[in-house]
Formats: sequence, C-alpha cells, structure tokens
Amino acid sequence: MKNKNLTGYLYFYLHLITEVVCFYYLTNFLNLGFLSYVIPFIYDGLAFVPQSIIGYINDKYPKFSFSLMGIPLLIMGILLYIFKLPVYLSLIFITLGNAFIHVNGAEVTLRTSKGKLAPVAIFVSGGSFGVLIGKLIAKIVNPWFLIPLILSMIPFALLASYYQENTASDNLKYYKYANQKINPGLILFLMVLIVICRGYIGYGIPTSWNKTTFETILLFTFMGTGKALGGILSDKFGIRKVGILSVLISIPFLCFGDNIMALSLIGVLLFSMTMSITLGVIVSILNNNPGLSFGLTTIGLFLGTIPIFFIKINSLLINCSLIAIVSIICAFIFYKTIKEVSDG
Amino acid sequence: MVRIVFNILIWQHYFIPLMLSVFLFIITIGITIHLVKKELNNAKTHK
Repeated sequence: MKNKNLTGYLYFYLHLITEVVCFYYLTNFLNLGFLSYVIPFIYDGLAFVPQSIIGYINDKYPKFSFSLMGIPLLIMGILLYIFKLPVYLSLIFITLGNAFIHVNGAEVTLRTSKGKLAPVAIFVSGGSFGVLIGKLIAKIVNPWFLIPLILSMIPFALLASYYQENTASDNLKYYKYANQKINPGLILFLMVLIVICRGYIGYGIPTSWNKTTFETILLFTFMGTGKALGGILSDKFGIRKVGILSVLISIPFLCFGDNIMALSLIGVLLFSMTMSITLGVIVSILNNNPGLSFGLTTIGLFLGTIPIFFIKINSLLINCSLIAIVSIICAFIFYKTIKEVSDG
Repeated sequence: MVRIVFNILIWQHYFIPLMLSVFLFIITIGITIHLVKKELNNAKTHK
C-alpha cells in the first residue's frame, strides 16, 4: 500500500456516510415526546453494545467484508423509515448496519496499519463530521436522497475489502503499548473505565457559546479533528506523552471556555484525542481481536451515555470539577498503564 | 376506558421495547466479558 493511511481515508468516508444516515434518522425523531428519549436510548444500545460480538465474529473471519453487509442493512432501514413501517423495525436495521460498518472499519484499519494509530484515528474522526451533516440535513432533505448516498459507499467498501484481503495476519503484533508489568485484565478494565467516564463528561462540557449553526459546525469540526490528531500525534511523539498531555492540558480550556469559543474549541480538540489511544492500548492486550477491542470501547461509550438519559447536571461548578477530577485520574491511569514506545 | 387503552398502547410501544433492549444489552455485555476472559486466557497460554 503506497499511502499508509489509505484504509483510514476509505473508512473515514464509510463512517461519515453511516453517521449521516443514522443522525438524519435520529434527528427526525426529536420533539416527538417520550419517543425522542426511547429511540436514541435503544439506538445507542443496539448500535454500540453488539459491536463486541460482531467484532469477535469479524476477528474470526477477518477476510470477510462486514461493511459490504452493513450497506444493504442501512438501505433496508431507510426504506422501512420512508414507507412508515414500524419504527423499531427500521431502528434494528439501521443500528445493525451501523454496527457492521463500524466494526469492519476498526478491523481493517488496525490490521493494515502495523502498530500505527493514525489510520484508525482518521476512521473514527469521520463520525463527528457525519453526525454534524446528518443533523443539519435532517429537516431539509428528502429521505430518498439517502439511498444514492448509501450506495456511494460500495466502491469504498470494495476497495477496503481488497486491502483487507491482502493484509498480513501478523500485523497486529506491532501494537505493544500496554505496560506488561500490570495485569492485562486490569488494564482492559481501566481503559473501558476511561471511555465510560470521558463518554459521560463529554456531554457535560460547558459550551454556552454554542448558539448558532455555524458554532455547532465549528464544535463538531474540532471534535473530529481532535480524534484524528490523537492518532497522528501519537505515532509522531509517542502514545503515552500525547495521552497524558492532551488530557491534562484540556482541563483549563474546557473549564474556562464556557463563554469563550476559542478556548473551548481548543479544549474539545484536546479532549477528543484519547479516543484512538484507549483503543490502541486495548488492542495491545487483545492482540488477535481488533474487532472485540473496538467493541469494548463502544460498550464503554454506551455505558457512559446512559446517565445522560436520566441525570443532567446544569451546575457549571460541578461539571468543571467533574472534568478536572476525571481528567487527572485518566492521566494517572495512562501514566501507569501505557508503555512508552521510543520509535518516535 | 380510553385512558386504560391509551396506557396499554404506551406500555406496548415504549416500555416493552425498552425493557427488551435493556435485557439484550445485559446479555450481550455478559457474553462480551466471557469472550474477553477467554481471549485473555488464550493469550496467556500462547506466551
């Protein structure tokens, strides 16, 4: 492969379109009373939780393109939505399609990148842009428009499956980020805990400045860029350094950026960098299971979002204290559990 | 009467799917923990 990040770019597009479709669908359920709580909750669970099992199956059959299976599922879900068939039926198809494409993205980008985090980080970052576009077009675009959009994923998925088939099976051995002096089970637990905590506090980041569509676009753009930068900078300067510094430096920017957009955006950028780092550490332990590893992070994200459906903290002081305490604990966990790779 | 029918409809449309999915999430998380333990043991024996 000439470009070492190529699979990352391919799955950036696949991830982006998947999220456009899913958030177009979800946004159209807002303002529908109780349904606007039930549908996102079930969506989060059905899309995030089964990824571990789907990932495990993909690990066992790594040459099989799960993203090519996800595309007809998405189309089916949208068609059911267009023809106003039972909402839970379309929800199941859309979430399964989402899960298949996500798992395959992680599987392929991790298997083809020889221990580097940039491709998987680029793949993950596509989601933020997709969420943004999906939300923006939800009320203005006809759902039929989504069908050609989903079909446009096929050549990208085919190309990705070509690279997937031509990848050496021992590429995953290059992931050696976990500190081997610590019990691997404990490291897995701590990494999932970091994902849960940061998933939760991510929703409590104070952003009073965010009032217009343009400001929302900026917020999601910085979020996506941060996710990609996390992997790119980790490959350049070392995963441990980037993990600890991004978490610690983000604290003042997030806490004092409530009314100052520029500060807040820098904080969000730094805050988003840990996504690929936690995944990299988990893959270092579950060396033959990139799909299962990715599934663990998505379960963490789901568990982190559960409290948001029930408790919403509106106090700026409590939110900032939570951000500071959790970030310091996360930095300490990174310091203890990540082994510094000195290949720069 | 209308209120009772309405409540049953709400129950069918919201709570049953919600409870079913929570049940599914718990089972899936359980299976995942089992798979992770299995893979950790595999990794230990291959060392």
